[in-house]
Amino acid sequence: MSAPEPKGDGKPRLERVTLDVFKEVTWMELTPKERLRRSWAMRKRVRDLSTVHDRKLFPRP
Amino acid sequence: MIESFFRDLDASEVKYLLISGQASVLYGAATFSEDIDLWLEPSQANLERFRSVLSGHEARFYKLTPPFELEIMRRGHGFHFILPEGSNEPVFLDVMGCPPRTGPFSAVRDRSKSLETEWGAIPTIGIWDLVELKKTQRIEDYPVIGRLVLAAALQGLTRVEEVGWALTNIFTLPELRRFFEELPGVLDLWPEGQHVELREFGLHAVRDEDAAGTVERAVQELFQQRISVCQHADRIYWRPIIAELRAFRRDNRLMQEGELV
Repeated sequence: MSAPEPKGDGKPRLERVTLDVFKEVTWMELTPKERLRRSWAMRKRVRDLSTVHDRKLFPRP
Repeated sequence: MIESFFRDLDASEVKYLLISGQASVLYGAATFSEDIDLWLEPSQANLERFRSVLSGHEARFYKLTPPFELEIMRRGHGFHFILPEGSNEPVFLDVMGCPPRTGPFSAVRDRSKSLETEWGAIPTIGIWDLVELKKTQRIEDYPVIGRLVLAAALQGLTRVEEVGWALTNIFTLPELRRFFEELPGVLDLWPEGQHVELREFGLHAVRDEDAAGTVERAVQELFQQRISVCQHADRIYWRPIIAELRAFRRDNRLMQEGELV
């Protein structure tokens, strides 16, 4: 996989990263083990995990 | 580190299921989730076993976490922790004992699957239960639900009720198109009472044609309606829990963020 580093204003670019993965491999054809391995490795590409996490978990009304 | 956490859950006989984002990744319906969500069997003994594993891994409380007590867990609250992960970013760990729209833990565990991963064999919520769990207020969850349905469908749908379940739980056009392309036979198992526009869309999809704009718009509207119903139900579900969480904050009863478990 060669998804590009997130660029721009420093905000996490999750949609872009995940879409790249869908393009490059047939995700469904991987084993669950391989999917989790690749997905977990993607954490390193996200600049601010806590922002991503908080935005999902504690959305502003 | 994360492997040893799951190893210790097993060694301590903690009863849990992997749910939400990482479960969706394992089933192929999502490609990324930044956290780990667990459903703990809501019993005092299990909670104590889990607390002990957390403590052994120097877990800390994260934001907006109510007192980690069984009664509060049974009222549907979520508990948020961070696990140190060596020199890497810490792992966000979110835990519930009674998540929304699911049955009791024991019944859901009976339908769960043990999936082999680099973290060991992980007990993972079954796809049908995961579909219910994902009907949140987040619009991003709805394509994931569709892909979960696809994952279940690719394992084989043989009964009319299963086709009905699938057609009721796809909320997005690309996933609906893929569903018909992969499983054209479902058009012969068409459940009574299902929307005709879905069938119309399916007939075009299996012929590799674009459906007429009116059909596509009708399906889109149906999906939007269904999503709104789910989002509304989820909002109503969380209202009293959020109100109680606010009361905990007002009364200074939330766990101190950063404090060791």
